[in-house]
Amino acid sequence: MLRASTNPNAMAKNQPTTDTKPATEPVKLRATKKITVAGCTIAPGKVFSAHPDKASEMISAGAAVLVEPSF
Amino acid sequence: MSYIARTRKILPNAFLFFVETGTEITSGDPPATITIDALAKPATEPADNWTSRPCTLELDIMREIQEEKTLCPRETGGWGTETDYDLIGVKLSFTDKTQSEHFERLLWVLPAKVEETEPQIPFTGSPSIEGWLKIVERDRTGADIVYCDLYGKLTLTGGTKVEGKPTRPQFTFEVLMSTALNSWMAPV
Repeated sequence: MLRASTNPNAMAKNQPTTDTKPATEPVKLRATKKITVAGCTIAPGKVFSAHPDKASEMISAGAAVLVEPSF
Repeated sequence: MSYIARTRKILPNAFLFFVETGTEITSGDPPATITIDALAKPATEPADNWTSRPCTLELDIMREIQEEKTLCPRETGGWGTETDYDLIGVKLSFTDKTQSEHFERLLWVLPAKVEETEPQIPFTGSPSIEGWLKIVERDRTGADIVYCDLYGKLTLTGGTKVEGKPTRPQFTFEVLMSTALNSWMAPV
């Protein structure tokens, strides 16, 4: 008869994993007005990539919109 | 610079800087990455984003103006000619004192930037280089009198002749008029 494993490592494998690591992959944005980013002046329509924190800042300020959803 | 200062006799010289389209600039905290093109122009600082061009011997700013003459009625009677002037293009022509990476790449129409000891197939690239040209004009006292940033295409006007005197490469820069980031400023 099969018995439940008592190996703590095996049990740990079965635990649902929660990824708490913050996203650091750059996200793609499109500028909606003339702004300065990374020491460059960019015009509306320019697509660029930024760190998610920087992206949130710019989206909140209405300076850019997301081009692609980030997963 | 005040109006009075501008009426003085000046002998300006010009320094040219260039940044090529496709150049990637990553900066800031948190960082962002910008690819240079007609919609993105690097700030003057840090200066190492710009390539300093060779000593400019001559700079000619050529405006292409189209004239349209129309015969209009005069209030006092009869008809008279009125002329409208439209700017339809701008080209810059400049001559360098020395050869440069731009000169070799455009002369041999190379597909990539010139790297020492890196072979390339000639006449397979583009005969123009697109990017931002920064013009800094300075008077004889060393004061900057004009800052101008223009986006456009750089081409080599002539070829080169092997003869017993130095080559003075001449370039043409055709300005793309539609970008809103072209700028001109007279520093105080």
